[in-house]
Amino acid sequence: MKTNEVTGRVRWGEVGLALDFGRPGISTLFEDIEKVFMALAAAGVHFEKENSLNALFDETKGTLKDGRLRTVRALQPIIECKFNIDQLETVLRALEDATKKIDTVVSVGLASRVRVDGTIPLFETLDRMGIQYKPNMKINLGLGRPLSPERVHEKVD
Amino acid sequence: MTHTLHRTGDLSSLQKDYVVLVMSCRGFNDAGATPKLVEALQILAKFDPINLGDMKTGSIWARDYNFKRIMESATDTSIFHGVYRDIGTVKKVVKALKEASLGMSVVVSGLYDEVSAMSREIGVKPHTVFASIGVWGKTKLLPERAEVLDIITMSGHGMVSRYLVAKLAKDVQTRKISSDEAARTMAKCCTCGIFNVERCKELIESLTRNQ
Repeated sequence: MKTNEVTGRVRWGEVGLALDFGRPGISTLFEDIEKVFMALAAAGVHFEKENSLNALFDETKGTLKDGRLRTVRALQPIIECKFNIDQLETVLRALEDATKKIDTVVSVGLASRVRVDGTIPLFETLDRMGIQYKPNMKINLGLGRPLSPERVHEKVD
Repeated sequence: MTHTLHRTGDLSSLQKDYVVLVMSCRGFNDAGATPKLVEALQILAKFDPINLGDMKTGSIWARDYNFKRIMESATDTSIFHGVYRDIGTVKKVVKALKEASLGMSVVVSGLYDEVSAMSREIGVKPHTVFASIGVWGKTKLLPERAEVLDIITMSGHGMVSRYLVAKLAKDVQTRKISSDEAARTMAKCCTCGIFNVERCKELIESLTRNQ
């Protein structure tokens, strides 16, 4: 997201999701990550290829490739994935159910493109769903170059 | 990476907490980026940040306030941060970065409404936002005191422990150290340089006042 104007990783109509397990300051067992990973896989998200944590999981089933990792503890590993904005409600409901079954916390972040007028389609959907977002965010100002090809032919909505 | 997201706090406190990040993008524009990043670091430093650092090599607090060492350690993939106390200063920083036309990505972490309005005033259009929808799961594990949570979430990589906050708050309360010393001790733990030392001092004072 920090360099999204250059990479074009999160595109128009898409939502990026980052889940910081065990954050802030609690830590997590991999068995808890697996419970959420399975729920996300079932919801049909696309896992981020560049994320090293994702490589430990079977992305179709969401299960750990090596079951011995279930009892390993880590401070705050991150799952990163993306999906179409139409799937937002399905994904967040699946996440809500899965996080009720874990013995730790997860800090949940959502990334989205910004319209030229400064409004954000993601927030309109969250408002409809009654999900609150924090007023402080990370804002990529679009100054990186070269711009990703999509940016050159940017849609307003 | 979400290191400056998920900072908690009330509006009046968050109005005094802005992080500006500058970085290249590996595999896209990192080759030969060092001089551009050094120029960006000099711009960040020019506007009196209360913290400044490189995610890869350390902050001014972790390196005994040696700005020269941070600059000399710059590489093509350095990730520089400056922390500021008001949106007016952030506006000057972003304007200078825009005018320098370095082609590096610039990310501001702070109140969206203020950053969005500031950007429009200087002709910058935000491209992507990353928003927090909070902490889910077994939230009863979190610290009870809001001030503790506000402090530890200023180090997104979890380098400031809630137990260190409790210990230092007790030292401040028993007058072994000042709130300023407590904040500086915690700032040293945050390698990136995103920890807001002044805000931490205020939070420690609130914590000890109401304990």
